[in-house]
This record gives sequence, structure tokens and C-alpha cells, in this order.
Amino acid sequence: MKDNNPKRSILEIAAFAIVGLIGIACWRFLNSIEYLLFPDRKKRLIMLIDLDKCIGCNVCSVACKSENGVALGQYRTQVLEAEEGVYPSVQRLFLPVMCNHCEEAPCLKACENKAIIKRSDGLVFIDKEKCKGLQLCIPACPYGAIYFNQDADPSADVRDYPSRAVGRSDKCDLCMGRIDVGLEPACSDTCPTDARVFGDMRDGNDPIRKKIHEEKLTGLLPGKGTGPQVYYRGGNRDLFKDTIVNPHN
Amino acid sequence: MDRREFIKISTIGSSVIFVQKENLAKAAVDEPVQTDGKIDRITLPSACWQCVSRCAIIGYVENNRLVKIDGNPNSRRNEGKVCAKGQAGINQVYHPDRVLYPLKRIGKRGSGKWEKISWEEALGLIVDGGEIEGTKVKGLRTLREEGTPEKFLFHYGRMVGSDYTIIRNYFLNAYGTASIGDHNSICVNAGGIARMLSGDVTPGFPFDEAKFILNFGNSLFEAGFDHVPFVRRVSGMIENGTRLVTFDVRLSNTAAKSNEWIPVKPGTDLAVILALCNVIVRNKLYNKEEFQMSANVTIEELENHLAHYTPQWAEEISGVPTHKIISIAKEFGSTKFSVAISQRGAFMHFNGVQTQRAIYLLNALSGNLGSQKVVMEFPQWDYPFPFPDGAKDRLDLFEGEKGKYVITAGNVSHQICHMIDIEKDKPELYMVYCHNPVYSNGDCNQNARIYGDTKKIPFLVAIDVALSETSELADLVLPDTTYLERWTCETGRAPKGIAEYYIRQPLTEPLGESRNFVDVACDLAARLDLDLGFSSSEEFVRETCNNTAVIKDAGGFDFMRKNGIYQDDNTGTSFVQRRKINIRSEELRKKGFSGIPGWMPIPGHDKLDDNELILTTFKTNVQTHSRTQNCKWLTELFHENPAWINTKTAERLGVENGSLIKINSPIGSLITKARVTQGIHPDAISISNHGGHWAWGFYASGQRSFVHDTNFESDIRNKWWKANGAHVNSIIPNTGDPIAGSMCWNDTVVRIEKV
Repeated sequence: MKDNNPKRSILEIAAFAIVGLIGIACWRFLNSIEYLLFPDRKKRLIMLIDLDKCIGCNVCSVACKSENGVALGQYRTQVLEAEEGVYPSVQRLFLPVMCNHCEEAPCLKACENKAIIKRSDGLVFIDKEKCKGLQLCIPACPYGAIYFNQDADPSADVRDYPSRAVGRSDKCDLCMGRIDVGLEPACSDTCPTDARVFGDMRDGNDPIRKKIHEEKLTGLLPGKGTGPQVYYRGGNRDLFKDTIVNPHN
Repeated sequence: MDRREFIKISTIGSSVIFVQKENLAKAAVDEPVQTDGKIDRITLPSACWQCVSRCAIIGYVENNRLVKIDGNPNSRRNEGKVCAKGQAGINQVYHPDRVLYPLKRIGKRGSGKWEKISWEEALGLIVDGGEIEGTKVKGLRTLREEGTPEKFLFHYGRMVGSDYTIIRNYFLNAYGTASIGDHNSICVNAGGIARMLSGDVTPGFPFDEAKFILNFGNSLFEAGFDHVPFVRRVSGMIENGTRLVTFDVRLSNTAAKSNEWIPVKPGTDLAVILALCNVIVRNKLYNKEEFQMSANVTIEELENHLAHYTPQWAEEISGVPTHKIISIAKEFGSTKFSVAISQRGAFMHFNGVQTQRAIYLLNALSGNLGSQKVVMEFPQWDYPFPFPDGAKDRLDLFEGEKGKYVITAGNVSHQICHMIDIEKDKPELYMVYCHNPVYSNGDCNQNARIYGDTKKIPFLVAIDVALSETSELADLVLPDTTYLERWTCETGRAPKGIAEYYIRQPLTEPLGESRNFVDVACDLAARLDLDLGFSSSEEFVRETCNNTAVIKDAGGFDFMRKNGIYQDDNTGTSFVQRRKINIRSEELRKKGFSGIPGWMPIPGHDKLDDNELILTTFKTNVQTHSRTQNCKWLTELFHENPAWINTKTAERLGVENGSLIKINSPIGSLITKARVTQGIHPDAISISNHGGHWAWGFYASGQRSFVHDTNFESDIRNKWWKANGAHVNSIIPNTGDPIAGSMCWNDTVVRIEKV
């Protein structure tokens, strides 16, 4: 029998909605304290970049190229520079940029071949076996973090740079191979001022997690809704408002 | 996992898999891990040599190819960190223009025509002489038999650790030549001579406890001695509240990351320092007890001497506001404790020795150079082989023109070719090792002319990893190994004086027929019947490790091969320095200079017309002076070196950002892009070193030296940059400051033209 009472159905919908919203809120709350309830359950890998400490030395971008066999003309991470002020009150700022390993990664959604994978620890990587080189991910990334390996001589590359996947899209994978055995990514590992620190958002003892919470730190382009997992501290990021995109890729 | 505990690493395709091992010590010489179908990754500890800091590193090797370098985490000096140059060291090995076999010239000098010869023939030529393009040249044996061993001139750039000991103290002494050139006079010799004049005072203050650092012209966040270790210390101190104030003509990255940048007109740091001392003394903000105990002048003498060096006086000269000088002086004098540091920006000037001596005075006033301070001695290896007697015979080429300089310590090497040119003396065999004097000194065209002249230099031999602007002029080129393919004993000193012994060992087999020059020197010695006591660098390093007590106890050579480093809090011996500091130098006073550091204006700087600027040079953070432009990852980041010019000055001269300008100096001109910036003093124009190579291979100059049969660098076709920058040294004359004869890099007055 058809229920003709519209009032009741609206109430029902409203009730469902409220229950649903409460549910979502609870879920989010539980998620946020998950690391307290289940400390060993999952990692959430993050990077904190302290712009007050960064001296613009560029070792991160070179170390990355070396670790990952990145070709000339392309970068997985770079240090941007901006100058501000009038002589003699002038400042120069440095902004290291990289893949943000987003919670809601637009590249992942853009890929037709499901080649971009977000691991349970939050790391976003491109599966070179599945990638067909369609490059749909490249314009989808608001940070310009993805590039295409268009090298002409794959055989030479395989010999000299085994980790260079020719004909595929490529980007920072947080040095997956290194971190899977407990090493740090090449960039933070060699940073002379500890301006880049690698950490785990679910580890209650991780000092950078604490810092991010206490100082309410955010990532780049928070308005894009991507949920970047690379957090920034200090400096005057506004200077880079329109130029955070990796200029090389 | 602790970084200290890993060692073996394998890769599958693009993703890397690391296999944990007990510790670095055990695994370093283990067989590679076999993981079906995967590439093994082996790690070995060694030592960097991209710059003078020589940090401890570990190298990762896959399929006999060096793929990655990290800092050695066991080092308390660099604590597992290296800089961009250190990371790019791999590029030195796989540089596509490497010299891989001995080359003999078959055309005119510099024609680029070479014949590949055997090592046997090359060593024969050096020992017994022979013919180069129809001209007879004398070899080492003949020069020695004729009683003129000093006609063998050996000129090195970077020669460090036991390489220095073996070549200089064993080989050259055994041979009998003291005709040895270095690169000190284009580096920091003014600072060194100032220290000598001050009584060889070693600062013994607890630097890490300083709360205020006053920096004169030191780009410590970009380059310098102990670069990475010092960056870590200073940045950590800043984080903990230490204030860093930098005086520089330019907003260097160091100035930008300091708490305050105070721009200063080039060459006037001395005026500012004298005024700071004036304020400190007048306000009695000095450490009286320490000063009186350690200095050879009284406070009263000093007060009289400094009386007219007022902040107002210094403002007129330097452009630094009076109130700023007063507030900095008060902060310096009243902070417990404060320290003044410096580098080439302050002292590679006409008045550089006095500037550095004034910095000693500043430190003495704050009690840093006190007679009771504890100084840690540098750790010493115990070499097991007896040293030959020191050679005395020396050509008259190393002190500059007679009577021109007060005290040079034989270090006016940038004028060697000028001295040869004016026929003060003549070497028969001129050997250049790890140095590029044509490019690295001033007045490059002149240098190229002299090094290219077979009448002035009959036999020019270069030992190099690639063809530089100098080695391309040589008659014979010997292929050296890079620093990642060789053996050296090294020492360093970590904060708090902790002694660090470490070794450099080959991370990969030498490429082609390249040979470590230290081994070649052993061969040359054997052919000349000179008994050095050892026959290779590896033997020397092994025996030295096994002979040095603390290392021997730790496990000797085997321990060092596995660990790379030995350090012990107890190995550094400390002593209490009881020397007096010569604030007044009688030696300088007798020669007509101010005994207590006094103002010394730079000729031509006082009245600049509207179109005149003072040219200064600097180092950027991803290059060394001349040796790293062949490293693709570094030159990709830094290949253009535009001229920094202040926005207001540019407006006055009608120069736009990015436009080409012609810079005219008394000896020549160059054309480069203008970088119009607020971050430079209006009277200065500043161009970095590193640019404008016309040799040194494809990445540095855009030109291949030669193409090898096997290409071991597939990236070469990906080189995307076309510009190579301009070489600023070409328009800077090879001058010397009147006290030390050091190169005045930062004094040339230039005129600007729009192009």
C-alpha cells in the first residue's frame, strides 16, 4: 500500500539525514582519534616543510633526482624563490614544492587505468605496470607535480637509470623503496637544516604531528579540497600564491 | 630502523627495496644480497671532495654503477647530511666528457687535436722527455741530473688529506723541487696572513654557545669551510634564539636567512668594524680581564687609536647608518657571548688583511681570543713511512714581484704566469693538478696566452678528469680518477673538538684507463729510483690505518673500510692557548701600515661617477668555483650568472631586468644579463663565479670535448639549457693586496653600457 503521507516521509528523510550526519561526524571523530585507539593500526605518512628553516640549498631536488633517476628537464621536487621588499629591507624566501600525496588526490580520479594508487599509509604512487601513458593525471594535479617521461632512448635509460619509467607519467612516491625499509625519503634525509621532516600523522609520539596540530598547519592550496599531506610552516607563503606550480613540469 | 643499521639495498624495476643488515660495519664488504631478478644495492662509506669541507658520505652501488650518495650518519661532523654538490658527486664519475686515457697533443696548443697514447708512453715522456709536435721537451730525470729539479713546477688546486702528504711531503720532496704553486692567493690567503700576523691565534671560544653572531661577508649557508657541519650548527643556534646579523654587499641566501641584513658598500667593512670597536671601547663594553691578558695593546692605547673612527665617520664611508652601528656595537658588547665571523667578502680586498685583523680585534674585545681558552688540536694520522728531507730549490715565481708585498708565505700563485711572462724564471716542466689556473685566476685571456706559449712553458702536463680551460692547452693530459674512485686518509674536527678520522675509498672501479694521480706519482718515483717506502695510495692508506694507534685499536684498515669513520671524544688533545694576540703588528708598522688595524681606503673607490660601480663576485649554493659545472644536476639548476644590480641604479642607467649589459673593466669587458634587484648595495654590481666556461665539457660549456666509444651517460640528449653564463674573472686583473699579495676579487671599478 502506497503511503500518501508526505509529512511523514519528509520527517523520515530528515531523521535519516540527521542520523547519517551524526554517523559521518562520529566516523570522522573516530578516524581522527584512531591513532589513539589503535596506535599500530595504520600509518599516515606526511612531510612537514619549515620555511623558516629552509635555506634554499636545493639539495632536496638533487638528492631526489639521484635516488629516482629523474631525467634532465624534470623534477619531482624543486625549490622556488621569491624576493620581496625595498632596499635595504629586502627578504628572500624559499618554497620547496613536491607531490602533496593528497587525501582526495585529483590525479587518482583522473586516471582511466587505475594506475594511480593511494596506499593505506597515504602514499600516492603511479603503478608503472598499469600506466598507459595517457597523461590525464598531469593537468588534473593543481600542484604541477606530475611529469611525463618522454625520453627517446629507453634502452640506454634502462641501463643507466633503471628506475626511470620511459613512456609513463611519473612523480614523487615519497621514495617508496627507501621508506618501506624504514629509511627516510632522499630529500628529508639529506636536508642540512632539517627544514624537511618526514613523519607519521598517526604516531602519537611524532613531534611533527604535534606541531601540525598545535600550530594548525596546512598544506598548499587548501581551497582546492585536495587534502594535501605535505604541511608547511613559517615563511610568507602568500608571496608564492600563483606560482606554486612546479615550473619545470 | 635506525639509519646507522642498514646497508644492503636491492631494486626491482623502478621501486627500491632495502634489505636490513646488522650494521654498516659488517655489511659494507659483504657479498651483495641476491634477491631473484632484482638489482642489488651495495653501500660503502667514503668521503666527499666536491668542496673543501669533505663530508663523510656513503655511496650506493647497483650493477657496478654508483647511483646515490648520502651523508654518513655516523659522522658527528655532517651527521648524515650532504649538500647539493655532494649529492651530485655521481655526475663527476659519469661526466660524458671525461678524459679516459692519456692524451698527447698533435696540433698546436689548444687546437683540440689529440692522440690517445698508452700510460707507458705518457710516463716515459714525463720521466725521460721526448718530442711533442717536433719540439724536444725535458723530462724529470734530465732536470734532476742537470741539477735543476726546481724547474719541475707543480701547481695544484685542491689536494687534500693524505693526497697532499703523499704528493707534497713524499714525492715532491724526494724529487727535490720546492717549486710548488697552490690556489691560496685566490682563495683566502689575506685571512691566513692576518692570522699569522696576529700570532697564529686559534679561536678557542665555545662557538656553539654564542648568542650573537656578527657576520662579515661569509656566505655560510651557501659555501665555505666545513659547509654542511657549519650550516647545521648555525641554523640550530638560530632556532634556539641566537641572533645572526650579516654585513654583505648583496642579499646572499645567508643574508636572507640571517635575522638582519645590513648592506655595506664593497670594501668598507673595515670602517664599520673600526667604528664598532670605537663604540665598544668608549662604552666600556669589552671583556676587560680577557682583553688585557691576551692583547699586546692596552685599552688606553686602543681608545686613542680608535678615537676618530666614529660611527658618523664610518657611515660616510660605508653607508651603514650611525644608529645601526651604535646599536649593533652595543648588542655585540653586551651579549654574553658574541662572536664575529668573516670570509672572502670581507677580506679579499685591497684592505683585506687589515679588515681581518680588525675582526680579530673585535673578537678579542669580546673575550673570544683570551689566553686561557681551550683549543682542540686537529687529529693527526701516524704515517708509518719516514719523510724525505724537505726540498729547498725553488724558482722565483711564487712571491709576486720583489718588494711589492709585505708577507706572502709564498702564496702569490695567481701571479705565477705573470712572473713567467716577465721572465723572472722559467719552468721546464709545468704540471697542473686538480686546478684550472687559466679559468680560476683573474685576467683569463692573459693566462690563456701564457699557458698556451710553448716558449714560456716548454712542457705543460695536466692531470685532470676532463679537459678544462687549462688542460686543453696542455701537451700531455693524464686522466685522473674522480674522488669517488680513489683512496685517501682524511681528518676532521666535529663540534666540541671531537676528532674524526675517516677515509676515502673507491665506490666504483675507475672508469676507462683513469688512474689516481697519487698512484701515478708512486710510479714516477719508482722510475726515478726514488724510494718513497710505498707503491700505491691503497697501501699507504692501509698501512697508515694500521699504524695509527687509535685506529689500530679499533680494528685498523678493515674497520675503516667498513665504517669509513673513527671518532672518539678522547682522541682530540686540548691545550690552553697562552699566546698573546698581536693587536698591534710591529711588522706592519715598520712597513708603513697601521700597526693597530686602521682605515685603509681602496684606491678609486672614494669618488665613483654616475656610471661607475664596484664589481664583486660570489659563490652560489649549488656550484664550487670552477670544478662542478660538469655536474649536470648542478648546472641544470645554475647555468646563468646574471649581474646583480640595484633597482635604483638600474633606473639611473636605464637598465631593465633581464636585458643584456656590457660591463667594462680596465682590462676587458663582458656581456651578460642584468638581474635588477632590491637586494644589493647601489654602488655594487655582483656576478657569481661558475659561469662562462669555454671548456670543461658539454654540461659546462655546451661543447663536447670528444665523444667516447661507449656512452655511459644517456641523459646527455636531455640537456635543455642553452646559456652558459659569463665568466667574471676575465675582466678582473690579477692584482694583489699590498700586504699579502692576495687577489683583490672585490675591488674592480667597472662601467656599464646598455647593449
